[in-house]
Amino acid sequence: MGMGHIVKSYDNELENLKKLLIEMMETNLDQLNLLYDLINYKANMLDINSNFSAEICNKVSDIDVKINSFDIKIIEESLKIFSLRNPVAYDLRFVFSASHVSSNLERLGDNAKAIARHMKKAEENRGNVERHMSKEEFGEYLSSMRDLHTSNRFPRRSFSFGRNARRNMKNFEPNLEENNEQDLMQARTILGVIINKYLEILHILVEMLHLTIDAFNYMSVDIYKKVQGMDTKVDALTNEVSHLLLREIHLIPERTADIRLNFLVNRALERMGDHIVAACRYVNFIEENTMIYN
Amino acid sequence: MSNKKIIVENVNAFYGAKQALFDVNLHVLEKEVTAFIGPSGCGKSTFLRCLNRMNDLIEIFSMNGSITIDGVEVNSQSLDPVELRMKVGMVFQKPNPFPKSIFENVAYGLRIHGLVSNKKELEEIVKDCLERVGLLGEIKDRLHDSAFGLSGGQQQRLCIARTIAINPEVILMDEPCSALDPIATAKIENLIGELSSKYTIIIVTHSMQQAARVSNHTAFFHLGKLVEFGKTQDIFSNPKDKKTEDYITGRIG
Ligand SMILES: Nc1ncnc2c1ncn2[C@@H]1O[C@H](COP(=O)(O)OP(=O)(O)O)[C@@H](O)[C@H]1O
Ligand SMILES: [Mg+2]
Repeated sequence: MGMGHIVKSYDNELENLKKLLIEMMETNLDQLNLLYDLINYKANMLDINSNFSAEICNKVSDIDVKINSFDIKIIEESLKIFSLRNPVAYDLRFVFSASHVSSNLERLGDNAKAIARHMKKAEENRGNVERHMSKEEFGEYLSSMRDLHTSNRFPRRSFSFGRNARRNMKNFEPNLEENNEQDLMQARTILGVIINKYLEILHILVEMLHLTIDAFNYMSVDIYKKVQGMDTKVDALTNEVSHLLLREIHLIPERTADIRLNFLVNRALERMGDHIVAACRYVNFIEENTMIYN
Repeated sequence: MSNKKIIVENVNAFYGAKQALFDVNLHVLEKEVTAFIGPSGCGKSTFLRCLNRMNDLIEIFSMNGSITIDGVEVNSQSLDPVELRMKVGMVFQKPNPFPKSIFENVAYGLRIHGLVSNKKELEEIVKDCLERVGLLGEIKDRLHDSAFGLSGGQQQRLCIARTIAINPEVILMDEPCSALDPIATAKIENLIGELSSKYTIIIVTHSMQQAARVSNHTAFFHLGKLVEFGKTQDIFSNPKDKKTEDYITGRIG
């Protein structure tokens, strides 16, 4: 919509709403960049004996407070426009979309906060997870995990691996033999691989969010489609990580608590991709008046 | 799926040499509310008046093309305009009650068209019509007072009662609420909703929101041309034409 409204102040209100959305996305971007730093440090083992994770975790939480206040501001502004301007057609779709976009961005922020928290927790845990589980304890743990993830009654939302991982879990037979040196070595390598996968995922997420900002700036459906395509990559990578984590449980039972947190991190990363796409999808809705899923 | 009550094909209309409507094609569905919107001077009233030959009264007016109501050509020589206007009633922008009592305003059409056989029947029909427009309760002990003592909104509802008294099939309304306050307007809008179960209604309105609230279909006119016609929800959520979108969103056209 290039042309302005006859009532100039209406233009200003719509422009302001768009500005708020973009500022909110930029704030999300700050948060993702911090997470990237955190994981980058981990990947390079620079965090040992420092409180770097705790610091970043606090900063990420502070930013989350800002993000939440953007959400509230955007809802207030859209309600004001609804009640005073009676928007229709393109304007209606835009104002309607604003609060949906911001609620996706708000959840994007929640997931980022959760990841920072899990990473910090994993670090704190490190000291006490070294405790060696007995073979029986480990066996019990594994079968409880298996039950958890193959049970249909278990609410999918709170903790799940997706369909493929569920199937793998069903056929998963725990190996209760003593871990040997080779297994441990392999496990450490897996953990390294996983951390690097996280970096790769975050890299894509940051790029997706950058593009989402462009998509809203130029109201470009083409950019939205690109973002949507990138999420397939995020899904593939998080799926890979799930499999690696399952293997890791198998290899080093001492670190199951740590690994559980990693499952949560991985899941939150996947969710972040979903929220970015869900937010960006509204560009398509505003421009084309259609909601296309996948 | 409703019937096509009115079918309009290739209508051009002129005031002398000045063309006011250009090749208008559209249909109006039976027992639905159709809204005509568009900037001032785009030809909405001209088109509305074509539907019951009110333009016949203007000497310089001429038109071509075809307008049929229930398959009968409106402009056919054999059709009596008075008969046509009984079938196609009209409510105007400014309430225009006759300088008579409230009762007489409604009774008048029934009498001159010979639609009642005795006084009792007349009284029943008048009261029924006043009831249906929500006036009876408000004025039942003032039935024989002058209609001019009513408020603007009540006068407009009285005009609607007068229109429905002669049992038309189509009701044309040309900006019926533009002289009314929001409460009187809401009452008329509510009445339009109720009447649409029985009558085919066409309303010209300057209020986009009113068109959105009351109508099933909307037609957008611009410079004498019908630019877009479709379901009201589609017009207001996703207009096809850029001119329609600019107009309804209040952009510079
Ligand atoms: N009686 C008339 N004589 C000459 N021109 C007229 C007459 N009535 C309307 N017009 C012209 O026809 C055009 C359409 O007018 P009208 O149908 O009243 O528009 P609208 O109802 O959409 O405001 C305008 O340009 C107007 O000036
Ligand atoms: Mg007019």
